[in-house]
Amino acid sequence: MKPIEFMNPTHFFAEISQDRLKADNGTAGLELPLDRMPDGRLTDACRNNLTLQLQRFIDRKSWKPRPRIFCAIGARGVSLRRLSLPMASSEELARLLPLQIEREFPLHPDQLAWGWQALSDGKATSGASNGKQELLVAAVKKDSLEEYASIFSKCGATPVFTLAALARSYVCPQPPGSYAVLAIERNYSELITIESGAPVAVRVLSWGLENLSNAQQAGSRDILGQPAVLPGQSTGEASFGGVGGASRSGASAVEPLAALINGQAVGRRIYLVGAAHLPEDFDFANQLTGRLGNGAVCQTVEIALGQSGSAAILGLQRIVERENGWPSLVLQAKQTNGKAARLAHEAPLKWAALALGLLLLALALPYAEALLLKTHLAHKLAAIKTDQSRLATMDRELDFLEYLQQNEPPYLDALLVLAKAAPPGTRFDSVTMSRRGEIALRGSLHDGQQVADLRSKLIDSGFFESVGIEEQTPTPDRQKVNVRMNAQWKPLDKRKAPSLESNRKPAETGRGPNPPPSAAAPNNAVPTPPARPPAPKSGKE
Amino acid sequence: MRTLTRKEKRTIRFGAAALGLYLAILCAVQGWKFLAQKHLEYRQLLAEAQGVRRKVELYQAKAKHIQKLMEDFRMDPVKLTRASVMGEASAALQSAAMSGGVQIGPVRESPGRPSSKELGSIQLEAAGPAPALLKFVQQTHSLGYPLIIDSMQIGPEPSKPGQIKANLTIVILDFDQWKQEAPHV
Repeated sequence: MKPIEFMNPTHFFAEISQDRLKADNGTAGLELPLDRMPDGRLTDACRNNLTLQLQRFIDRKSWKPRPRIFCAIGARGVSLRRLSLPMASSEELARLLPLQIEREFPLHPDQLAWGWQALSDGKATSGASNGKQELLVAAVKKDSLEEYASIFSKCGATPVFTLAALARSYVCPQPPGSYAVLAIERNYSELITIESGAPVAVRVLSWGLENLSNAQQAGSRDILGQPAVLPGQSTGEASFGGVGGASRSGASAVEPLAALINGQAVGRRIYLVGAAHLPEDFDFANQLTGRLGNGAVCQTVEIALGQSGSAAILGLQRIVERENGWPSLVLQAKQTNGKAARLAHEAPLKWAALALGLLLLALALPYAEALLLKTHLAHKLAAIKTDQSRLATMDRELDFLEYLQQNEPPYLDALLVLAKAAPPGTRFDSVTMSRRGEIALRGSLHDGQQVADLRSKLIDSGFFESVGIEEQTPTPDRQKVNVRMNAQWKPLDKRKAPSLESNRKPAETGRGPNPPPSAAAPNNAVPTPPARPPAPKSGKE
Repeated sequence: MRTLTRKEKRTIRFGAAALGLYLAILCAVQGWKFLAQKHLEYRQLLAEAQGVRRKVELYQAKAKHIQKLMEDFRMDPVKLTRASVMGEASAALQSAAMSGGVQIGPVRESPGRPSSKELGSIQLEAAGPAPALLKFVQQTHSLGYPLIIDSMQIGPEPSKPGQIKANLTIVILDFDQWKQEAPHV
């Protein structure tokens, strides 16, 4: 499955040679000169310039993952060794390899930036026999690699270093058996020998295009023109390989190169990279083939080098396309058993997987809620439904209590109204009340006028609906009037609540000629009800 | 067993992949249906629970009102037992009268009429000073029993000057008859 594109880090490609840095981002190229000190390190000015230019070129976006820059470095200072180690797990191999490197290389592994690749692929092939496995180890001094790495890090990119010579082999045909790739640069050449698809040796030969130029100057004219011809540049009027002084000088200039190569095991074929842009009339491949004494055939590789003009960068791009996005041989200043680099490569995938997982979780949560909480909710609902019987009980309780409240007869209120309405000297012999509101009175008053007053006051109180006089009879001595009255109090919602305030004048209370009913009949009269709080308007107590 | 050709192996691989894909899709569809069904049931339960919740909220106010009435009457109707409420109410009346200085005369208990939702009635004569007697009347509502004074007759006490006499007919309501009613929801 292809990861989501925007989650992937951007890829850049670069080649660092002795005098040049070339870079390519897929759409544009960059070429910068390198200024080195005598010990091979970059000058401060050069380093600053590189950092500045590369920052602009890479132009890292903060929201995107850290870009990765695949960088091919020159073969100068690089050593290749084939090591034979017992079959072991990757963890054991990580422990064994430094020990073996310490034995095979002149420097301690901590001072080296190194990488390895399995030649036997872990299977029982020719490379893996007798329980052993063949490994190819490439190492270079750590200082130089760290210098490049710090520049790329400042630009916000993660470098992945490999060999430029190895990368160039990917732009050449890859026949079975042994063959070599010769890359001709301005003042040196790099020769890598490959056997069964794996590099076995890499050499820097002190012969370059400038040697041809010098030979031309020694002859009739400079075949490369001035300045020296670089890959991708035309020499204009140069003439090679033909008759005449120039061709003879060029042919003689190839001699030292042939002598350098003759000392090496190069297989049956040598592919030439960087010689394609030489003048057509100078057949460099044939000249070299003719002068090699080992029977190897030279062949110029015709390739379109793209914006960067670098065969190594083109090879890197093919490696990334072919080798699952990762070179088989990676040089690392700090060994992580290859895991860290892989982890860095897999990090975007992890983020994508995490995002996908979160998305699925968000989608699944409502359903998970249903699965997890349904039983709980059902139990709770069943419990509530069981408790609903209590609601019916509450209804009955409420009905009962309200009935009790509404049917509470206002006997005390009726007595209060009666006491307030009775004129002084009134005597009640009997008061009978029922909860249906019927009141029957029997008593005596001074005269008929007081009876009428009592009646009218009872009606005016707003408490009684009707007040009737059943019988009014004067006593034989004509001093009093016996009276029997009946009344009916109003329903709860219509009757007026009585007030405790007296409606008599102060002079009438206790000191007047007619004392109040209780005073007038101290022995047997019906008393005024005791003081109590005023009833609410609803008539409830 | 003969060795399978490359074409046959490829066919088998394609077949296995297709079968696996079919099974995966089938399982996914079935799983999705199962989850959707569970989700729907859960939604229905939630809706039902919300309905019950609204219904219960309506009873909050009722519960407060009932609480206030129960405090006023000092009574929990549910705790009343039909068998003993008559005797307990009679005892409570006499106790309240004695503590208030009211003398209780003859007491007659009679069973109530079921149609009038009454458990029974108590007829009693009480005599005493007017304030004490009226206080006793007032206290009958908060004795903790469903008592209603059906009728009251007040008159002088001939044998005890300065005191009055009251004949009270008190009915005791039967809560069980409310229990048989359908709830007014």
